[in-house]
Amino acid sequence: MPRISGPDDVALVAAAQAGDDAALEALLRLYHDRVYRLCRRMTGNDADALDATQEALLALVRGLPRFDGRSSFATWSYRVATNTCLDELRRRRRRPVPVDELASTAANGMDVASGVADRLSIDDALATVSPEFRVAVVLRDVCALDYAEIAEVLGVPPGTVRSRIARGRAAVAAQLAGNRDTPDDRQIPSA
Amino acid sequence: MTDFTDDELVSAVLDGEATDEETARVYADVVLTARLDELRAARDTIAAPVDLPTSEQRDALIAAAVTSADARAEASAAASPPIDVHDRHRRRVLRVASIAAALLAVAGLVGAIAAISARDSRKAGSTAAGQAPASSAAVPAAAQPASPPSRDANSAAAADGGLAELGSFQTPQELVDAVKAEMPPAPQALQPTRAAPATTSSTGVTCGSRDNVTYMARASLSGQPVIVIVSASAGQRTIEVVDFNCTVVFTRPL
Repeated sequence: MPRISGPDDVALVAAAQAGDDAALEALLRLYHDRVYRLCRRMTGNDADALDATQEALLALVRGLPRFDGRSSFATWSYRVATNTCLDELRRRRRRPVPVDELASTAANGMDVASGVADRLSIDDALATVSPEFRVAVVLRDVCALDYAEIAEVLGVPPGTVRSRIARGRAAVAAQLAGNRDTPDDRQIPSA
Repeated sequence: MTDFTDDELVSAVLDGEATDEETARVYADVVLTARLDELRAARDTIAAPVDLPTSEQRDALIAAAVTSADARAEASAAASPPIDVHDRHRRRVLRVASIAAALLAVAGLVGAIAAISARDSRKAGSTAAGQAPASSAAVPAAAQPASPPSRDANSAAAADGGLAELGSFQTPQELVDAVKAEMPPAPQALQPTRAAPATTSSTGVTCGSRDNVTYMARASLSGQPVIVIVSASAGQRTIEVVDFNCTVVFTRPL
């Protein structure tokens, strides 16, 4: 699995902090795809993912002068992107849903009242997982961070990361299996 | 049936974050192994590749971010000119040092003035005492401390602390009477020992040259500090009273 930090990061970060636009652009290109993947899985659709990615890149630029290198730039960038995505999700919860979007969702077979789909895509499955569990799962399964790195990004102990990933992943598995019961209630098929 | 603890264990095994013992335990349990397969399927689904934005979209996002950095830099530069922190600190230190130096200079000046004043007082006293035998024949003892013949008139006037203090008077006549009482008899007093080339007030202002000064003293007239100068010319003594700005308060024959 690719490590989250590259050897070129340090030089690029230093140059970008010194005001080198070319270095800043190279740094952003280096991290753009990682940030977008995180945002895409966190937000569940392309439009919100683009918005969140834009906000995350802007936040990286704003925060770059204060980046002190205590963590790797990759870890810091994931932290910034994660916070941006969580903010985006909070804003979206407060945002009224357009009528045509509701109609479109209903037409696609979604149960509008419960938010559960008859046929769940991965985005729909992840959408049923609480953001704090979802982000742990996405950082692990999409961004390929290990537990220690996720713990650093989220600022929680590794044991908490392990628990959140298990819960989030179990919830996704339950949704994909068409079962909304909690793992406690679920019958494990016998071998 | 599995619980959250089992899911944590299985999930950790799936991620390679479990110990060898935990991994062996999972693979030894058919229920946990089945759960491992379920979670693996979920993991693989979540990890499915994400369709990335087009290159145009990506370029636009990055360009906007870079532009925001430039805009922030320009805004920051426009809002406040670059400040050299070290230079600002250096200026602050210099300002404090200047104030301290000024205070020290003032303190030193005050001390020097006090020392000079005290020295002149001592010098006047010792000079008068040393010349007393020469002048005592002509000048009454009461006039000796301020006896002009025994002093350099210029320096005596310059340091008012060295002049005799006649006291305070409400009217010019009282002052004149006091001066008369201090003066020696006319025939002797009419023999000036030297001329005062200039008379200087206590503020250091030269009041001009006076010939034949026979007596100088300090007094207070109606609450105003004054200098009393008695000069003799053609057998006539004249008293002149000036303030510390060399302004003549009054003058009259004595």
